[in-house]
Amino acid sequence: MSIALATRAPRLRRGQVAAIVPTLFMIGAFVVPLIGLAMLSLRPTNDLNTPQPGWTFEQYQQVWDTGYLRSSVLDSLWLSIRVTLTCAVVAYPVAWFLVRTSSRWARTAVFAIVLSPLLTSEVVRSFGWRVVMGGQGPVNAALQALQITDDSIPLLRSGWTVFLAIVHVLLPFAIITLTASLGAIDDALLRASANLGASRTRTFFTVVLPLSVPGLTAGLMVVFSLAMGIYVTPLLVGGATMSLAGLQIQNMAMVVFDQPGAAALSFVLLTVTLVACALIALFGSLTSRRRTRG
Amino acid sequence: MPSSRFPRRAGLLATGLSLALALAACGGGSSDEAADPNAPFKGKTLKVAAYAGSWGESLTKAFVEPFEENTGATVELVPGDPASWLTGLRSAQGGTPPYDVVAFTPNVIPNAVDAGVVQALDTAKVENFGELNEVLVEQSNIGGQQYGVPLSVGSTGIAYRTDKVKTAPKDWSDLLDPATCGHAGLNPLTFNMGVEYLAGLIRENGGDIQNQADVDAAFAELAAAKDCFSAFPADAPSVESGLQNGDTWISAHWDGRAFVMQNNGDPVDYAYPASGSVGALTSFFVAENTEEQDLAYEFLNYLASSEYQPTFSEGTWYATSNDSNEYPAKFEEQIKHGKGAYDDFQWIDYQALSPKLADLQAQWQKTFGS
Repeated sequence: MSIALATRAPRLRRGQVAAIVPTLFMIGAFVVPLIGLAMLSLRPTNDLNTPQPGWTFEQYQQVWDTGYLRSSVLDSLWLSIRVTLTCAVVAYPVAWFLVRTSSRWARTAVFAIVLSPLLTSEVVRSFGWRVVMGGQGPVNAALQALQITDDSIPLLRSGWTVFLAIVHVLLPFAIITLTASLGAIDDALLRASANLGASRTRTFFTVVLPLSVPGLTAGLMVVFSLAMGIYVTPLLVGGATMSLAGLQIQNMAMVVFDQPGAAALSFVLLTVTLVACALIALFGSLTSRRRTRG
Repeated sequence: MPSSRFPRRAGLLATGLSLALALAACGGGSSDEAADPNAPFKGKTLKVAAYAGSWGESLTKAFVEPFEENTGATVELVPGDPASWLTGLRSAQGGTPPYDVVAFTPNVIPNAVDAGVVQALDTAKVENFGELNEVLVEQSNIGGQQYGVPLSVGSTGIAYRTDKVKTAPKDWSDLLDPATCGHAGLNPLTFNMGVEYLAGLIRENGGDIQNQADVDAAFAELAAAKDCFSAFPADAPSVESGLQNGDTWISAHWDGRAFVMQNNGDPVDYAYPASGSVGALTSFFVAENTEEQDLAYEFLNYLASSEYQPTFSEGTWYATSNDSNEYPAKFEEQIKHGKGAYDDFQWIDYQALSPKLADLQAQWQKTFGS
């Protein structure tokens, strides 16, 4: 007993020491700036938006009272929900293929295609969409060749173009997390399900889907969080016409120079994102619990 | 024996070291003293915040290279944009600024002055300040106090595709011409070119961007043509790529960049609007609390000099602020410049407009947002 304790204590200490560095890094790189941002969001401003001494909630009041700021948060929420669900639906068959295919060549090729967007910057990917959807781009050329339209269509103005571009940017995150989760499912469970007479569809809904909930939940949370704050892609593809909180924050901080206002809107967005992520996590937890009970 | 040999070796070593140290000391001393009067700032580094790309390359060729050669100092260019430089200066407020000299456009100047991140300028310390164009100098004068040294000046007007637009535009409202409907670019008010276009359109109608009724009338005009805009470019490269790839046939743009496109073979031309162009200017400022005050003023001397400015203009195709500048014939032909050239330009009073900018953007978003 005493020997066991004696050997466990140094291990624990080593574990604690190992945890100190990442903890300090997180405090330094995330928590401290967040506190600074919170303090900035409580500063009053003058006419030119320069922060003044004192404390106030007027920046939060402004977010609540100003229609386009309030709706930018709601529009971001709605866009993120659509993007997240689309990514989940599209990612599932791709991840399943990656896990189940016996061809190493096919797995490598699909994985390379899936990861390729992550190997280039968001700016480059977004400019790629501008080339594809531009007036002289391949989509417009195809539409004209098929005589669907006589002249080029302003596709870059369309909210659907921005939506597709965002799905393209975030899809790899959903595929990677789902692949890890689906890969952990034991083949014996699938064989047992088939041996007991379950069809492929029933096996999917009663075995595969419930067992992939942890990966699905993680993927939903990652994609949703990234979609809530996205601004580079809509800015470059849509040209700042979309009502999104990320664009508004960028504009308030870097164009109007209202940094306290931008900080307040950031915190509102962060709160909405955290609440939504908590709901996603709750959904995952409840689904897993029901599976365990079942 | 060994005991007597060691001191001898030690003595030799000590003598050698002393000689080496003495020589090194002499060398160092002579180098310091040799800081000849032609290189008074040798060993010092000046951090200058300036645009990247051809603008930064031209700045290097025109000013930085002769400055480094003549002063012995080193210039470190920090690329970015005025908004990010202002943010950087604000973050460092009270401490050493991240840049000693910084380039700002007029939309940023009131905020920079109000935040106290740039110094009031001692114009007596800037050689050739008297040769700088008065209209341009005035743009960085806030509350009767001069803050900046103007360098490059352009005008916002209308760029268009010569192969698509049959009749050359004459004024701002030609962007709303039904002939180019579906192919016009409109800059959002999150980009200063968008503000400049709106100001120009309002002026053509006989109004003023500071007057809300005039702003409402212009927005009504724009809203009526809402479906004619094919793109909303939010930065200068987007304006250019839109014109090049056919998304837009006509768009507001700056003269220098439009003529560079034309000179590079793009089927693009530029029109100075009949009711007056809107001025676009970049001026340089000395950061508050800089540790290189004298060096910063020395750099401003180069920026203001007619000896160096034309080289910069040839690189960027923007006019520069010294009225004594002499330019190549092609530049003279294409670009407005010199004394009196900017008198009919509209200059946006950002000191008055900045507090209203968020509301204007909201109005724009309400009209065009999706």
